[in-house]
Amino acid sequence: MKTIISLICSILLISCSTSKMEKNVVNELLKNQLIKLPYIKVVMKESLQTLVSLEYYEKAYQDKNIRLGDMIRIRPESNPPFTWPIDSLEITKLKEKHKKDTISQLWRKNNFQGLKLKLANARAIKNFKSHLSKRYFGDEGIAISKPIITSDKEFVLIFFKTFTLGKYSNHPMQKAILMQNKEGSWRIKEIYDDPNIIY
Amino acid sequence: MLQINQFISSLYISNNEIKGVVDGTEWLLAYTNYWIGTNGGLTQSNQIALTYAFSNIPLLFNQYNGTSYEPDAINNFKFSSFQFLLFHGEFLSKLDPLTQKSILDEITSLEKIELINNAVNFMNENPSATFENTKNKLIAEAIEDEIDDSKLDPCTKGVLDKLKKLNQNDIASIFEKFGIPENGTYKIQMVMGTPNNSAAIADTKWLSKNNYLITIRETYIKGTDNNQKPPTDIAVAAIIIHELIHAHFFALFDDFHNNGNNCAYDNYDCLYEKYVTKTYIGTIDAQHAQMFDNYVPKIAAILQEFKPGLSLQFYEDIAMSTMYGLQYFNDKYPKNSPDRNRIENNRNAEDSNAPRGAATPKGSPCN
Ligand SMILES: [Zn+2]
Repeated sequence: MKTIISLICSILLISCSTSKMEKNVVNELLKNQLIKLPYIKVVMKESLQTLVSLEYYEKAYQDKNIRLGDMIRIRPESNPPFTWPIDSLEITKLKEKHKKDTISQLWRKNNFQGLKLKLANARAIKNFKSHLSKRYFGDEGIAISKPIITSDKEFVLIFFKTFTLGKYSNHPMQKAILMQNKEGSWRIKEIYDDPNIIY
Repeated sequence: MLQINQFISSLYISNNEIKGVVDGTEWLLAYTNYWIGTNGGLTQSNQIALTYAFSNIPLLFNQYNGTSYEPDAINNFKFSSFQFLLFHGEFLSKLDPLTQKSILDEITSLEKIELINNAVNFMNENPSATFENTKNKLIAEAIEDEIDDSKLDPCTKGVLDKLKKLNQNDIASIFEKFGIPENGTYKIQMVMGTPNNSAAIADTKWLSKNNYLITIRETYIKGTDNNQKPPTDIAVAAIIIHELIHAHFFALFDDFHNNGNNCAYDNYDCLYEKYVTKTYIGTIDAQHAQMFDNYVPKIAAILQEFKPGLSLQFYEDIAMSTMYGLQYFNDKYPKNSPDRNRIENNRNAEDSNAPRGAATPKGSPCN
């Protein structure tokens, strides 16, 4: 009985610490990204599909030796040489771990502590005539996936999209971000996106 | 025969550059003799044509595009440009020097020789036609087939057709790139549909080598999401121009990486740093950085010719509005600054064909 209780506790502890880590990651991402996107005012309540970030990374990883000029599905945004801290074994492992992770969790206000952001439903965002769209007309919003944390807890993958409130966007973004834990805080290590589509 | 030899050798010794070119081109004298023989001998007209051709070969023979041509292609280029000079020499020599120069300056590739040859033929038959107008007319005709607009709504197609006929050089040269040669290097299609990103107004895709697709959002064009009102032709034109510049950048990418043109990125520093030296660093992607660097005033100038008679500020605002949402834009026009408000209002008024703030729509509704 004792062992069972301690086992439950440690499982709870693990999941608690994981979700705290997830929150930290999202917080850091928003802080880092908001410095670049000072006009983000709205966060979509529903999270994006978790596995998309890993799929982006995987495509980039699989296409890493393709010659520039041939079809490269996803490519790192930085300049080569690129580093690939998540290998194919780890990709498979993470995929297995998150394959049932398709329910989109709802972000809560306390997930974005210290950030002045309005949480809003996808429905209100997509409807250009909603109260929200009128109030925030022309402002930018962001939708974020749940993070995928590597087994060694050193790296995390996260996917985000930006949009404009009340009208279509001239330059929306949709990118996967790889962050690295450096002395307790998460730093952007690489950004992945589709080099074949531009807005 | 003696007379022919004398005439040719007088051309040959008249100038060291000519001498150099003739010495370095083994077929040249033989072909000259053949041409005289099959064209009625050393007539007055042929003498003028020959003099014109020989005087201009040093210029033309070095004018082919960059270093991408194989020796065979270079030889072909020289041969075709020499034929062009012989055939049109007499006519060209009677034009004013500036027009002559702008015609000869265009002889930069085999494809261009074909186009300019057609343009000069047209001018020959239509003495009132200017070179620029003739060239643009032929380019527009060639493009007609080259940009596949069969899946475009009448409104967007109308805007595209009007853009094709503009004389403004930057848009003409982009269309020219896609329009020549007929059945040429690139396949480009423009459709009304659904862009890849659900929030996007339009996008440009690189589908495969030399094959591009521009998509403009159907609900935007039809106005279902703009207070039920379609946008004006100015807004649609601004979007088309912006996306065409992206397609043009993709074409430069293919020219460099797939079509063997090492000079494709000359004058495009950001793209060069991104794809060649691989040292590009910026707060926005290289394509948009390049557009900020060289294209915003050009977009404004295109819009001005597209719809003349409005203030310069207005054209600049609409051109700049196509960069909305990018970091450079936010840096240059902070939130709530008067400039930003004016740009936003001007563009929003065109997007929804309805007044916004101090702005009223200036374009005509599209649908
Ligand atoms: Zn763009």
